[in-house]
Order: sequence, then C-alpha cells, then structure tokens
Amino acid sequence: MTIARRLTPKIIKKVAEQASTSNNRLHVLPREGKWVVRKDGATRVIGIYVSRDAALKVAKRNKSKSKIIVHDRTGNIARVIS
Amino acid sequence: MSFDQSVFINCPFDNNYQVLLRPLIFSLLSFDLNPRISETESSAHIRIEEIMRLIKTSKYSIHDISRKKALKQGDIARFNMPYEMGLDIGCQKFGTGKLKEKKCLIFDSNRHEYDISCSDISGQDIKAHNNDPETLIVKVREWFVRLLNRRLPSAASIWENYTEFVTDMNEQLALEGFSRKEIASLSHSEFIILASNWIKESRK
Repeated sequence: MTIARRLTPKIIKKVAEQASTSNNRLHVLPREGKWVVRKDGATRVIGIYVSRDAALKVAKRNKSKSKIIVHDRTGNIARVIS
Repeated sequence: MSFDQSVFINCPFDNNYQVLLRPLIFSLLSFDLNPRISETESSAHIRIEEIMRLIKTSKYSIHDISRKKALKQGDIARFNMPYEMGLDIGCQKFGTGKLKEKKCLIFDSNRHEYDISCSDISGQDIKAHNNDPETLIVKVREWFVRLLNRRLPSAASIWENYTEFVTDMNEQLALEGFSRKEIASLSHSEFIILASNWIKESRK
C-alpha cells in the first residue's frame, strides 16, 4: 500500500527557498504564440522565436552547466534536458 | 481574512481544468489577493453552505462557466457553476452594505457563447479564455488593474514566474519523494500555500 506524502512546513519552506536560489536553468516556454528562452529569475528573456525548435536550438547553444526545462502550452514541464 | 482582498473562485474541479486553475490562483497571489475555493466534499447541503459563506465574505468573484456544456458525447452538462454564479450576483443585487461593492468576472471558453446558453448575464464582465492559461492571466490582470487602481505585475512576468514556480515545485517535491501523480493531485489549499510562500520568497 502506498501512503500519500504530506506537505510539511519544512517541505513548503524548501520549495519557497528555490525562488531565491540560483538554479541556473534555462526555460523554453510559450509566450503570446511564440517561444521564448529565459534564464531562472531573469527579468528579460534571452530571445523570442517563432518555433519551439528554434528556441530550443538557442537554449542548447547557451547551455553551460545548466539544464534546459522545456514547458508545454499549459506551463507544465514537457521535457528536461540535462 | 479581509473582505477587500478575497476572491471567490467558482470553477470546475476536474483534472482537465487544473491547467487553468493553477495559473489563475498564481495570478491572484501575485496581486496580493486571497483566492478562496470550496474544497468541501461532504453533502450537497454542507457544500452549498460553505459556498454561500465564501460568497458573502469575498469582495471579488471569478466564475468560469465554460464547462456548462458536456465536453464529449455521453458526458452530462454541469450546472453547479452557473447556479453558484447566480447566488453570487443575487448576493450583490439584494445584499446590503459592503455586499453592494461586490464585483464579479465571468469566464467562458469562447466569446459570446453565453449569449446563447445564458443570455441573462449579458452586461456583466464576461471574458473568453479560449482554454488557454496565458490568455486567462491577461484577462484576469486587465480586470484587476481596472478595479484595484494600483500597479500590478505584467501578465508576461506572471506567466514566466509561474513556469519557474512549477519547475521548482516539481523538482523539490520529487526530491522529497512525491510521485508525479501526488504532485498533480495536490489539493487547492496545498497549492495556494506552496505558491504564496514561493512568491513571497521571490520578492526578497
């Protein structure tokens, strides 16, 4: 039998702390019918592209030690490229 | 919880709607508002009492009536949302004091679909989200900018922050041993706690 995990105050705090942690990830996400590449916490995007493939190509070129998070149209994670 | 900052959300609670509900909740938290949703799974009598309490204690309401028709053949159309919307509009019309200040925003999936199915609501603030979370964020922001009369984060920044939060939540909860299924089925109140704490931290 699987026991559902409980969301404890400690876990809530750990998730929140990620907001101010430099995770050095690149996000490829849809925006207004196009695709953008954005670094974690950045106020400006790296670029705006007509297709997800074009955005992904740029993200891969910019990728150093970071990983790429590709989002789907709902904002959820579609793919992670480490 | 303050009346002026509370937003009652009247929407479907199925998994298909989660892709709109979570960005909606995240947007309201980004505006420093308190999203309020009934999670009562007890009897219909207790549920409606809970909903009436939320309606009476929330200045703002967001009603999504896009699921008033069956999504596929064999499904049954759902009328809880239009019913609760009627209760809310009635509360504003017939209530006294601060209840007169109540404001509501109505969402449908397509523009003017309500003209056919629920024409009596014409004249209210009705917007179409096209079942698209980005569009929903833009429309919610436009509505609150007009009502709150203060600066709000841009729709693009809310959307970008939302995707970052989703990543942090999924990664961190996975590290804590949560399965993908458990993360997807977090309750609304759990999602609200996680998102509000993350937003507070991101502002530091």
